[in-house]
Amino acid sequence: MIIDLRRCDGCQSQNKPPLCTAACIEGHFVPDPMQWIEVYEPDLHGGGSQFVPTPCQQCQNAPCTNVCPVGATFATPEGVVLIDQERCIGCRICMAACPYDRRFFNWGDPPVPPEAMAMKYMPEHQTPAIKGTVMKCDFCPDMAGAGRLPYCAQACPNHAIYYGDLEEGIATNGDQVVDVNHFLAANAAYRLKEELGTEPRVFYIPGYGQKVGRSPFKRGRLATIWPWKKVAKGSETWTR
Amino acid sequence: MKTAAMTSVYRSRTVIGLLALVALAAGVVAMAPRSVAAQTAAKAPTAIGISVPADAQLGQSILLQARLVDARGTGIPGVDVQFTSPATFLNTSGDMVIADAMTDSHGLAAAQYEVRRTGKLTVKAVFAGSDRYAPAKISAPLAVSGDRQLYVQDAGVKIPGLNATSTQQTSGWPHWVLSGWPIAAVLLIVWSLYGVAVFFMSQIVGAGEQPGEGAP
Repeated sequence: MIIDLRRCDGCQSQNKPPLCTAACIEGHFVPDPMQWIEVYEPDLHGGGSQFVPTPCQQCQNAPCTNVCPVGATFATPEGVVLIDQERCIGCRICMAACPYDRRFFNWGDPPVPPEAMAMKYMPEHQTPAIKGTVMKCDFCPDMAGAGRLPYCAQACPNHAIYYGDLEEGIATNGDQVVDVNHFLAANAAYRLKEELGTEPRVFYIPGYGQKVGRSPFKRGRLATIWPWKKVAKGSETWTR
Repeated sequence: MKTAAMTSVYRSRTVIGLLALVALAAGVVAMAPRSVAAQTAAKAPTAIGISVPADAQLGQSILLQARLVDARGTGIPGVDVQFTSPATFLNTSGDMVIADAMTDSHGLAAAQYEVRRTGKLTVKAVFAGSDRYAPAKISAPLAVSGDRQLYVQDAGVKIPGLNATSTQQTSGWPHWVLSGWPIAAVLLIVWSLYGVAVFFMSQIVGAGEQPGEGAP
């Protein structure tokens, strides 16, 4: 995945909460207060701020898979790190090992809307959620298999999120196709906490939304909502 | 009387305004074709040639070359030439920029490209144009064959001497560290302690079997 921060304005221009997060929550029935792709707003060195959508970094050398005592979190041959919640024992060692804080624990009975109840559980979509287990962004491998972009990339109004294949070195944001190697090199891409040796598969192109006309001094984004909770009866929430 | 005079003034102002608008529109219409023509005339025609291997193996790094010349056949230096290839991924199609390069003093742009897709590809050399030169593009076929896995995961904990080689995060480490002896020494100590513990436990069991032990 490549996230072009030059195109991310935290959906300020849409006057809505970040739509990548909203689409992910809606598509995966993500329990409150989880945000599998969370849009942070760090300060810029020269003043102002930028928005950084942060999904699971899908590390090539993932600490979470190295520490899981029961092999519940694993990397597929395609290079996606998944969790088998039916195997997970809820020890949360993987959460402690993740340097990006991108894993979430189901402390209570996760709210399950009727449409999720009808789905058969698979690690590829983690629905319906299971109490006492860990969840995270899974890069929507079931959708990629069907020839579609992940929810977050589909929902981004500015086409800031590219999803691709490192084997063929090709990625798309639904609007254009790019050669991964050339695109990353030409735009000085970087990865989060690269010094840790986790080899993340999420790349960032530096920026603050300038390509979509955002001023770095226009701060703030609207708070995330969990819209499907209205139809999930008996659901509870908790503090992370 | 006052009202009639004001109405007359307004009418005359309206007429003047309309005349000004008509004049402005006429000026724009008259100027537009001239400016476009002037711009076209200012841009010198260009021609571009491309040099790409006819076939390549998957994962091979190939040299893409394009030469940009003006109408007299002289190379155009210092301009950017993009190499693109049509591609489709997840229902999105388009020309994918695979490399770009600046032309040298002979008008030659050259770039390396690692081929990661198989099949009959097309490589285009595109000059987008500049203030002085008109745009130009050309394409060439490229047949790629092969069945290699290019992206290989490199996961796990790296332990010097055990599974980390000198090319992996360990360059600069002393040779004796990479030799594996420190790991062997640690394992020997741990298993020796374990063996001693097992020995003493067996002694405890043996002591419990002494004749007369526990007899009244």
